[in-house]
Amino acid sequence: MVEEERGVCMFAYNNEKMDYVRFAHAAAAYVKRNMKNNTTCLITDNGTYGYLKDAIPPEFHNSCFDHVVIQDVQHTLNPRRHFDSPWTEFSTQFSNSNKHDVINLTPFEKTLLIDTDYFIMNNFYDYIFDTDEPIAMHKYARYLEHQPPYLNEQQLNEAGIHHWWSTVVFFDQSEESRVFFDTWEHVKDNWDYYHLLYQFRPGLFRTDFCVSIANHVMNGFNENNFMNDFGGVPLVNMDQKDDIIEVKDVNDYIILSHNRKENWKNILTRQTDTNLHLMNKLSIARHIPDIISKLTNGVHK
Amino acid sequence: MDERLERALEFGNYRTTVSNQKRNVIARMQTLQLVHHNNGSFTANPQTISFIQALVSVGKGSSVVLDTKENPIEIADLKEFLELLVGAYSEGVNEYKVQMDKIQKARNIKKIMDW
Repeated sequence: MVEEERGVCMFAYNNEKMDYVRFAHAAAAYVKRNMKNNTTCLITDNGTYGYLKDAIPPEFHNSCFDHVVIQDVQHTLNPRRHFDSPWTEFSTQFSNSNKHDVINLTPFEKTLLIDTDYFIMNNFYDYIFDTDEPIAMHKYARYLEHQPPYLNEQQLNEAGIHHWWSTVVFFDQSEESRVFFDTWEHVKDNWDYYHLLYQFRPGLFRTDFCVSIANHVMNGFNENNFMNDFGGVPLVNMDQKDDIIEVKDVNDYIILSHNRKENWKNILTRQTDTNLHLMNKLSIARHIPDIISKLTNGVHK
Repeated sequence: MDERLERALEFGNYRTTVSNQKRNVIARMQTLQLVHHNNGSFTANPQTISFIQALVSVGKGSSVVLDTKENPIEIADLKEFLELLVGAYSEGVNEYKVQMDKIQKARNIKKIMDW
């Protein structure tokens, strides 16, 4: 269904605890503000779209998204444990079973797929649209105090293959891309087999693991360079145990960083013009009216 | 708590925050100094700039140059590429200087956070 040359896609399926579609509007408004390749597409289902029409002002929605693709899918039960600071945790449905289908759903020839909790605060990703790279993803990540990711975010097991992040996926409509997404789907369909082969816990279906395995397979079961890693630039993660303290300006966040080794230590960090993967969803929810207000100069909340 | 210890701990917290902010600014500078050209990725650092300048100095107009991933990239116009590199280098270090000046002037966490 390719209609346009370049753009940014995101999936949003609401559940009883998470208003992902509202996050998606903020994420899209960030794309519009900070990127040159800023045509956007929302992929959602009828239920979430119905809610959107009631809950989000049409003019704000229209300013955020150029395309809406409806795909009703029966998501398999995939409960995910979340933290909101170190002291609160909860579990909720994580609907990610059709992410691999983006290659068929996107209206763009070249697509940047981002998660709705990823706020783009600079123009870093624009360059990739001018390359011939079929697929790109982040291989590396860091947390707010420049700590490395958790071990299971570095490798699939203690002696396993490298972990790649599906938070941001750039792809085109080439044969390589299609094989990649088909392999992703194949891993999803054979999750029980692949968790044994690659020795990771099967409980939560993670697309990060699917892309890591697909990349490994397509590299001839080696650590080769089939996949572009955005020049080795790491994804910047705000941990679920961190908390947004203040949104000073659209691209300027003050975040309390939790020290996972020494739990009594927390420091304030200030993130300016930095693309942020905000993993504490409830923290986003608490600040989303302020974020949207700043993005729209006070017109919407 | 003993006031002296409280002040020492507060200062320790401040130094940790300053150190982390400095790393943030360096990371931002490094991103600004990435140059993407003709499907290649380059870092606008003194080494790359000097090498391209050396090629220009010996009269080369174009050349194949290895990028950060060791891919051979054809640079059709070395002078134009040099300008790109110098521009990205300057943008990065200027941003670094502006942000570091702000951080160094801030003598406590509230000022770093601009509260």
